[in-house]
Amino acid sequence: MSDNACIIETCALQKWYGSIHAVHDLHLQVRAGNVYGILGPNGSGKSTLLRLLLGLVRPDAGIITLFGLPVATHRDRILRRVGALIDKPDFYEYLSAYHNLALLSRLSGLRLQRQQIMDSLEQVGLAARAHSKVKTFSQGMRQRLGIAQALLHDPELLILDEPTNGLDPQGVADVRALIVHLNQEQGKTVLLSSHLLHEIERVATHVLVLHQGHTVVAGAVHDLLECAKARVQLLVDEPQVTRRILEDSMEKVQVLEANNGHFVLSMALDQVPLLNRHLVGAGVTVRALMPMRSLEAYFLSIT
Amino acid sequence: MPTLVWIELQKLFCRGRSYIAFIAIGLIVGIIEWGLRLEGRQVLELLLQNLQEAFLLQGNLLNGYLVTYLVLNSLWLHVPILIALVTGDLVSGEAQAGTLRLLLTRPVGRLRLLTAKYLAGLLYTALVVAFLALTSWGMGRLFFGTGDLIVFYQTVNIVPEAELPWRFAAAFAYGGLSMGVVASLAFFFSTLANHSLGPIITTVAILIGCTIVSTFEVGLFRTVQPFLFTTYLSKWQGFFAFDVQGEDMGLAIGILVGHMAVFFGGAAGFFLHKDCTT
Repeated sequence: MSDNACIIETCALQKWYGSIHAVHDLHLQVRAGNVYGILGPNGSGKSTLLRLLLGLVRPDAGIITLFGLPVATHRDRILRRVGALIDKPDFYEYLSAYHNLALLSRLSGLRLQRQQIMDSLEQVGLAARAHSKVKTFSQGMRQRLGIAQALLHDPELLILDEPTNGLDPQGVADVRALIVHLNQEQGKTVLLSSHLLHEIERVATHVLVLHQGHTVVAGAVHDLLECAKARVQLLVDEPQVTRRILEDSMEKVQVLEANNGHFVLSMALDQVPLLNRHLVGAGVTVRALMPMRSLEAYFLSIT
Repeated sequence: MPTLVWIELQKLFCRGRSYIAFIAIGLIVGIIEWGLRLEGRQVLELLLQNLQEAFLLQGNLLNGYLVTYLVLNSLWLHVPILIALVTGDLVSGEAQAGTLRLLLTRPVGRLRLLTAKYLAGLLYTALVVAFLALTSWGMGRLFFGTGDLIVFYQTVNIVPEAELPWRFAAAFAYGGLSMGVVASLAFFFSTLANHSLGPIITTVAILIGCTIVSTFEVGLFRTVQPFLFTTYLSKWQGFFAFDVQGEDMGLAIGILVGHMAVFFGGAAGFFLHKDCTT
């Protein structure tokens, strides 16, 4: 697979669950080497999309290809190159972490040595509990084991559904670092879903925003943020003068909140220096002018 | 495929519920043999009272073979429930636990996975029947000794001891096949459900319902009886007839195998198109 090749492609994808239109006319392209985030509130169709990509559920219409092969006819060949963690990580509770991984590796047609399985567990910080039964594991440990099983066969593409669910702050940071490491050091393509916007923002190069099964927006995170309006916090000593300037000179700026000298504005980032010049020119004491440049602000503005 | 079957067997025998059948059979056989040891001789004499007026019956009639024959009758009631308990859980249990999702994200075809599960279920069934055979035969011989077997099948038959090993082997093999049909039915329902209780209860309910229809010689029932697998579950007794009807037994075996094929075909047809949403 050449660099920048299209690894995942969907065309006019549709999925219904009874009367619920879970995925609506979805077009998606994920290129090799990207970390592609799928964002959306609960019930937006994120998990259904990931299940469709893995052949867990069948589309009602549309085409899905992974590595240039249709999932409908080449599922097994495709899955040899994909590691996945879908929904909550469920394992055989009555088996140990090691035994679970050994069993899954053999199911994938691999004959891994003991040390290779232990290395997988080491990678997610579970080596010390390798021989404990999974039923004794916390949610966070199960999540780590879920990531370990996804990495077991050294896949080119990782599909992770809310991979930081149930993890403590250190665990979240570890998983985030692991995703970045897998992408940047090992060149793996990652597709991950989350409803936690800051999670996606920190690791993703590209993003697809879903809402009620519809694509709201898709593209490179950097591009989306560049053209998007950002939230800007403004702290001044002269609120009356500031309000007049905002109304008279900055027509494209929207005041979202105003509380004495504290304003929250919605505006294009390239307008921030101009606003600062107007305020200073009018003798306003500007104590803070802080763009909240985040995907969260963008997400809230478009959904 | 052998690797997949081996994996399924490993999972199966790592679970406590898989041993319920063996424990229950051990208890059932033990209780039956203990009861027969206490009062079996009086009961047998009562049953043979009329016969003894016309014939001279000599030898050890309450022997290990008769005990094994009586234990085989438990195939009717207990063993199907014990088998459904495990085979009805093979797919639905994984769906309920969420591990089916884990399996289906591995590079293994759905049909191969399902076939491996089905074969593991059949092997489990065979092991349960083999355990029943070994315990009843072994304990029977140990506590009651050997001798000719007197059975009531169509008429009174006295089967010579020398013929009994192959007749019992055939009867247990047939019993294993009929239990394979029950396992296949439970497996079929297992692919339809996402909870294991439903397939187990449905299988037992169908078994009871069909057994009633197969037993009563009433007009409409008589019409459907040839098509019900329950009609053929007790045909193992045919191996203790004076003259074993090979053609009849062959037909019964064919019908049971046909039922297994239909149930597995139905399971495969459904599972291959099933959305994994759990």
